[in-house]
Amino acid sequence: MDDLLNEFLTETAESIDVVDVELVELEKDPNNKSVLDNIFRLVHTIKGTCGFLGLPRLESVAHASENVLGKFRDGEMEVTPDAVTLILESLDRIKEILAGLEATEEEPNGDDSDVINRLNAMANGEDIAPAVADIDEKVVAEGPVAVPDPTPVEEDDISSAIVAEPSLPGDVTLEELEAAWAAAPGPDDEPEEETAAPTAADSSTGSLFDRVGGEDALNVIVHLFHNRLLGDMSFKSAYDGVNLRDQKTRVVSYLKALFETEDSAHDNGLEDAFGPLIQAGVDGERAALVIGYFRSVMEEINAAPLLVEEAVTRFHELGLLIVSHSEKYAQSQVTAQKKKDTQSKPDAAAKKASETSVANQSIRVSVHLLEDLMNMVSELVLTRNQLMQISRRSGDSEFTVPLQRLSQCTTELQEGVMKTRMQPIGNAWAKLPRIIRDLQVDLGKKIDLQMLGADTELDRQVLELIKDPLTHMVRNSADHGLEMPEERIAAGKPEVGVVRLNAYHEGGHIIIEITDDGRGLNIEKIKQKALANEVVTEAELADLTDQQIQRFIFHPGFSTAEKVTSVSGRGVGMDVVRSNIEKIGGTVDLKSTEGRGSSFIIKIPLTLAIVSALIVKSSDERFAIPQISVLELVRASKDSEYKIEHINATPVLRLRDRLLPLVYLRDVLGAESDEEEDANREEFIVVTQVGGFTYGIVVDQVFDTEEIVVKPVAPLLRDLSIYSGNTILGDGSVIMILDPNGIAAETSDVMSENEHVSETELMADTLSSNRETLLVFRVADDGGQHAVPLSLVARLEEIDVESIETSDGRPVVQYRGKLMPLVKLNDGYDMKESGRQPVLVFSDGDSSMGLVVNEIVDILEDQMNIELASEIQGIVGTAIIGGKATEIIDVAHYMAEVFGGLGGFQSAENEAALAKKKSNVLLIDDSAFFLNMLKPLLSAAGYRVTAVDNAQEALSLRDQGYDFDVIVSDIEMPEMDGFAFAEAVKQQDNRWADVPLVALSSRTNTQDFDRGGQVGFNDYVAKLDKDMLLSALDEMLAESEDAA
Amino acid sequence: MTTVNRQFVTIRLAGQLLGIPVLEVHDVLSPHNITAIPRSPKAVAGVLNLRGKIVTAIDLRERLSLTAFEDVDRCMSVVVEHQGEPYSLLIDSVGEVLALPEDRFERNPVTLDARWQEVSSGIYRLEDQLLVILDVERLLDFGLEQATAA
Repeated sequence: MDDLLNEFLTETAESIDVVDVELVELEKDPNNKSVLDNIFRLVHTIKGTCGFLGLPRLESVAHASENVLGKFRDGEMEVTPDAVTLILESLDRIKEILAGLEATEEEPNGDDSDVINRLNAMANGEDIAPAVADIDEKVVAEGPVAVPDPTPVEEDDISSAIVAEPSLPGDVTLEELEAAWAAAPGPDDEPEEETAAPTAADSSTGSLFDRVGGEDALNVIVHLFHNRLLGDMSFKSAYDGVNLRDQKTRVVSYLKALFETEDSAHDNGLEDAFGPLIQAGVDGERAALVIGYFRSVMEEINAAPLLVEEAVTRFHELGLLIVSHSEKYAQSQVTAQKKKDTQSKPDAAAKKASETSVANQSIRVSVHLLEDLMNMVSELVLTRNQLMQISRRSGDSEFTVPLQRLSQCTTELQEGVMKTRMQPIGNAWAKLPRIIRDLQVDLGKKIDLQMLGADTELDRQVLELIKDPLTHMVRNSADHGLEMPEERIAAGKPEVGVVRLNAYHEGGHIIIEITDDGRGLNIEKIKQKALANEVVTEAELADLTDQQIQRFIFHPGFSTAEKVTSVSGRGVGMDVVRSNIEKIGGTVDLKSTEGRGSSFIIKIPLTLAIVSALIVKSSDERFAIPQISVLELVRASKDSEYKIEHINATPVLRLRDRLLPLVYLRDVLGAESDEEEDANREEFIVVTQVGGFTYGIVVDQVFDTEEIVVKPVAPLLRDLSIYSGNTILGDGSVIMILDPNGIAAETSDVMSENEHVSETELMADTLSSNRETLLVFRVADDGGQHAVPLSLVARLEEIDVESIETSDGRPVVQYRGKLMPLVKLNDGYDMKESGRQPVLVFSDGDSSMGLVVNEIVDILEDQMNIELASEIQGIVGTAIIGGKATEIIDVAHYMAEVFGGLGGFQSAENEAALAKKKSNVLLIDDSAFFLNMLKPLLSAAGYRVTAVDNAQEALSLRDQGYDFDVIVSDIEMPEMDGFAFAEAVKQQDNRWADVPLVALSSRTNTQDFDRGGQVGFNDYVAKLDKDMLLSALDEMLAESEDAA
Repeated sequence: MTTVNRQFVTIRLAGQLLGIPVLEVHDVLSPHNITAIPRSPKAVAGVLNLRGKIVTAIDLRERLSLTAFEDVDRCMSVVVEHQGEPYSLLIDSVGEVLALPEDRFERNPVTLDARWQEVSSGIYRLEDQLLVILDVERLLDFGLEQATAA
């Protein structure tokens, strides 16, 4: 492509982006002169360049919008949203044409008359009529103060040039103008003349001065002319510190003299009138610019074309004079400079010069060149690494020092090149104000877009990749997130919704938060959608936290918007966003509170080219794992604090408060594993995070971290999702870079045979309702294992055998100021005779009981499926725990035995209840364990308990005519769950409809409580909370008593 | 009579003499350290570092269904390019460069093993043995085939 055209395209595209943003800014603050000037200047430049390059379509559109902008600028028209929309539209048209131009190198054909006509209509229709009317009105009403329309302009210019403090437009205007007009002779006399003059001018005869419209018209012209000059940054500085009012007066008198005669321009008073210009340095080119300004002013006051030409011709002479004076001045400056080396006053020219030099300090470089440079630096880094390795191996040599120097230079070079690729993230945000603005108009919402940390820098490549996802997310926030103004007011929020972008660095990453204060994610809707899309089953859903459920929106096909708008809601959004972000090694997470808003947190690496990687070894090969996804390293061996445990052959690691799923890298790699060796091997676990999913990769060995340059793998190997690339290490060998994303995807396939990779599945797996944390113990050295749910155990104690006393023929011990009876599981073993005796302490209210055991084996999390029910009192049954047959003990039995025996262990209330009447309780739970546990407990508390293990059976009891005072039901049951059961019970005309219902569940989050309440449960009790259950029952019965 | 001569690098693989057009050969490598890639297609022996460039090594014996190499790390290889990517073909040994007249180039005998047919563009009858000319394009175009098979 033509270099010139290329340059033009880049520059224009940039300008247009700026104009986009500035227009939105302007709409918010129509009086912001500097913004308007900037917009005007940019559009003007676009127009000018188009004309120069011979692009008539572009030029005409740009010209039309410049016209409208000109009216804004001169205050002839108000900045209205409609007008801004129209100009934005014209910019869009310009963008379209530019796109065509870029593709074909020719201006595409098309008709822009619609836009142009509307722009012109706006410029003419709305300016001429009101403008004239305006003037008349003001003239009549305000007399001397009456001014032609360009008032706001003058005010602002003057204030910026003369008045130091920024002033409000309204009040200053009049003062300033008054002063301005007072300075000019005789404006008060015939104020009408100035409007009449330009139009009448062409017909008049006489000197140019008269024909232009006399002194009043000249005042206007000079004023407008100065506005133009001040609008141009290169001239504006020259007028800094100049009293504009006086300056204008001098110009007016000079021009008056010039226009009154036919004489050519003269030096007299020139320095006075155009001093700042002369000092600013005006060469031929810039003189043309000045003359252009003058011409546009003449055109603007609607002077007749002939008159314009004449005036411009005269002005042209003046321009040449200014140029020659300017040259002289510059020379004199130089000599003056030479004479007096230190000129204390920094004059305008010097200032100007320094400005230019600043402008010259940056150059445009093609991205390709930078990419190449980056590649070369990457290679250099690799070679450096190699050399360093060799040097380390060979010990001290004469190469060592120069190598170190080389290394340092390389590092600096690398940093430098990286810096050239860094761009502020604000570049990716540049389009957002416009998008939000359009959304406001389209959706009728009020949105405040806040952008924080726009100058946070990140790699260009990353920036490009993050741009679209960001835009999408901001759109989403504005469209789905924020409510309509009415809804917001109804919800007690401010009418204007906030979308906030915040970017900051955090340890080699850049974090971008997109927050809105809108309605937040609707969890119910997401649940329904998840079920409808068959992403999860109802049962799995029950175990998920709200945050896990919210993350479903990152799955394909998730859009909870009720209607598809033009903006978003087509369901191809967040999953693409996620995959795009993950593609560059980033992660995205969200937090959302219903009714309060959502927050998306994107974490991305600063750069992609050179990454830090952890080198590990597995099955005799080395691999690199990008450091960014590595959270920590854990060493596990048989006898260390951490060891790998297995749940049904699935390896897991207990890491602090969580269970970490593990993946053996050698399994992933398909290598043979040696069972024997595995058992004794020392393993390293690389704790890896992919999105919200954390898992451990088990490797044989961990080496160092190394800076690596990621290179793509050969096309032959692209299908292998477990690799993200390969690289050459410092020692010259090639190693593969593992992709934690890919590994997670692969392994969870294997683990759950479900293609969706997310924490949710794994969590569902570990949290599945049958899973219990069990305390495993032994009562005799050679005896079998026993277990009890850990949640029932209050404490583990070791009691000094000597402190055991006997009371009523039973062993007791003083424990926390009370007597605690000690029981044995059975008579098959004896308490220790000396030393310390391990005891499991169970508590119920104030009373505690100690169960004497021989040895506490372990605490395990496992499925508790009771395989064999037990006939023996005190044993619920036998289950396989940790691979061994284990008797589950019935704590309630021992409690009843001990406390029943001792008497007085029921609370007073219970006794009262007991005294009153024996209540019938129906207990429904599919778990034999709980039935067996609760039944004695409730019996002990004085209830008559009927226990069934499924809801159907309970209902059939109803049909058979049984009656109960209260029903206690589990929630998670096969076939008919607790909710369905409650609904069935609470149906109209149901005999049991008035029986109080208590839900018993391990699911105790708020949603479940609410749901329980909806379907008719009177109370909701956590499964293992005996006290709660008992008090709930008491309460329930008391209530129904009262009611009866 | 002017016959155009074509030049071939001859290589030896499991006793068979093979030829690759000389212009397609970028490099001949002495044995290199090859990094194996678990889970890669069988014919991919691994990757190696050729002067800072990562080259994919192709096990030519595997590719041509011959008996396996004893030790891929001790193999010579020739580097060719396919769709802009460098590949090194592992072989037993490299012979010489032969200039052979074009008009003596013959088509493969129809009874040749289908696998060989696929990767060979034809043969030359040398005095004492036959030279099978390998078509590099087709030789390395097995990614697709693998993908569809998978």
